[in-house]
Amino acid sequence: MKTKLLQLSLLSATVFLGGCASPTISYVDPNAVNNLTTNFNQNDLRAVAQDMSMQLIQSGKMNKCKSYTISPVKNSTDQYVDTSVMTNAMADKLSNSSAVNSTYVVSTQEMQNQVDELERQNQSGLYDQSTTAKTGKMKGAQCRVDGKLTSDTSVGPDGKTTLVSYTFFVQVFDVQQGAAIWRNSKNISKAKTY
Amino acid sequence: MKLFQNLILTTAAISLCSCASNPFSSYKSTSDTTLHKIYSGQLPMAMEAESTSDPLYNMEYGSLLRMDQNYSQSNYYFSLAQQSMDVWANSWMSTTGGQLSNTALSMLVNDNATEYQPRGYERSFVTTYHALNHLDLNNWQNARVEIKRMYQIEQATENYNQALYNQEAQEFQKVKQDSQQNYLSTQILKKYNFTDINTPQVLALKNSYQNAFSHYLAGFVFEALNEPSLSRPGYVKAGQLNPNNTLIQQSIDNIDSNTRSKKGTTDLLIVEEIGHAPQIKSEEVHVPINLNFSASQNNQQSCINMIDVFYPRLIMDQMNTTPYAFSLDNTNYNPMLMVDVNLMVARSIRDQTPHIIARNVAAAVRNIATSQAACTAGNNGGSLGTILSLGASLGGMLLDRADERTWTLLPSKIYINRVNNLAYGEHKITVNLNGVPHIQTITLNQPYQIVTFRVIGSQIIFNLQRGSV
Repeated sequence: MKTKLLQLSLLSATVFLGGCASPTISYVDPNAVNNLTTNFNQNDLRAVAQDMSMQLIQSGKMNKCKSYTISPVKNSTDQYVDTSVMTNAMADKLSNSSAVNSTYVVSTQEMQNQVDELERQNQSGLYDQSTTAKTGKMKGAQCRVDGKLTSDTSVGPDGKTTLVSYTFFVQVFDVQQGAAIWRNSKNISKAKTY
Repeated sequence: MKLFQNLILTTAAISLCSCASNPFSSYKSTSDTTLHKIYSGQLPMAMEAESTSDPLYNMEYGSLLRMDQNYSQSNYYFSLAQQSMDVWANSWMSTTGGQLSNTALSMLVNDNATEYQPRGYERSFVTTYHALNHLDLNNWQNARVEIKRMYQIEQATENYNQALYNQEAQEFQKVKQDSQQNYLSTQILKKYNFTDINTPQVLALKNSYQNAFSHYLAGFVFEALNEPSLSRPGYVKAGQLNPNNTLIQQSIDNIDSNTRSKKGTTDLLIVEEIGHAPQIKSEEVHVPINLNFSASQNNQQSCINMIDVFYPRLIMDQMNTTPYAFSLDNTNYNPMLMVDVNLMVARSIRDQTPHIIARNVAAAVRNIATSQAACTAGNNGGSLGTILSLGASLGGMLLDRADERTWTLLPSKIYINRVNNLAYGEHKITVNLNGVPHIQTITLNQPYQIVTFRVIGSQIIFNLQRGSV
């Protein structure tokens, strides 16, 4: 009984002394695969965007356009996916590829900054007008790349397995004609079992 | 023998001094005092300023300062509360094997004596109110940071809950395998009052930690910042958590059709909060038992025929139970329910029931052993019986009682309305409270704005965006 009471006292004291560990910080590989949740994470974002861009480049269809822009990728999932990462990853891959002769022109996402800069140069009265970029000279995009991310969640009959399927769908349109010149989709499925 | 008596008393004293949460005091009484001061209009004096790492104090005091429109100081206390949660969250963000130690320890000591672990919904609400403070300071980028933190915390909570459920299932399995513990758990369950926590409304909640308001606010903030890919899931998640609110689907449709307020007009989000979240009172129930069937195996009669069981009972806010209709520039609006915090608290307690039962069984086993020893020693005429009785009662105080701690200054319900295309300039909101109209002038000068008001007792408190008033 004495032992029991002693254990009880020590245990109570331990409760108040525990949990004082300090955190450690380290660098990790940004490309390391994170398989811990079914969420669409940064690895997935970049991987599907780069993969679709590569397929588009290999199709040779981008060279049918003199210039192109990329619309913001739409997120139709129920997850907080920052699809601007996908839009930027596609822009990076297409514009840096030596196999793509088409010129990337400002997208709707970047338009406000472009307008602000033109207004600053032309309307603020601060600049030598012989050196400013003139309004009305921007190149219109002949083609537009359009992307959409969707998801579908299903739960196994035992309630312990959740399967989330993601589809990244990309189309390239001729802006003037409204005709699709390339379409493709890529699927990723992630399962979580408790 | 004196040594053991001193040891017990010293341990109790350490408990009292070292823990912000005093295991002997009732948190219900503490929050009663705070609420009475708020009801009587003594807002700044309702709580004393303290410097502590206790997340519950920091959440409560942060809420009080927000009601007092002291947003910067409120954020300071919310940040302190978040600091203690960050360590926890980091251990659960992307794993299912984080910190569970406190839960294991609370099986053996009074829950009130352990460091307060905010409930899942409280973790989400801290970031949400932190974001609302930033919006009231007209700092949308900082609000965005808190919104992101909100859904990251939810991910951590999901992983934590899963691990906790697994552990509780194992705990309960162990109880079932031991004949005495199995008998005790059956007797305890017979007397456990499930009235508050087993209602159809409680069971209809998707879970206890996600709330539609936090996600709707996320959608609104991302929409204002022109980030539709993040705004849409905010509204979608809000719709999943509250399928009855028609405003949510309308917001999703607006995102899909890229509909925004016209130039020179404001899209105004009006948030109405009422009352306070339920308090928790430790309810004591005497459960009759008969252990002689097992004691007889040791040729020893049990002198215990009753155990005390403690479970948390919800005390709902009775003063503010229904929403208050309001008008904006003489147009009447009916607030639309977004979150019922009462239900979330009930669901949270319901999810904890296996742990509460297992803890009561552990306490009963411990008390039975100590009381039986005291009984036997007393029958033999020694002083050991007295000492053991003292140890049992003091140990019981430390080890028993349901956890009464909960974030009480959260509202009991949150309602929203949204009004589009309001011209820039002054507008009047009129809230009718007990027949008395309360008029607040607001100035609109941005494409997206938010106005929050809270009715608590007979007080009405408006939170307006700085820079817009």
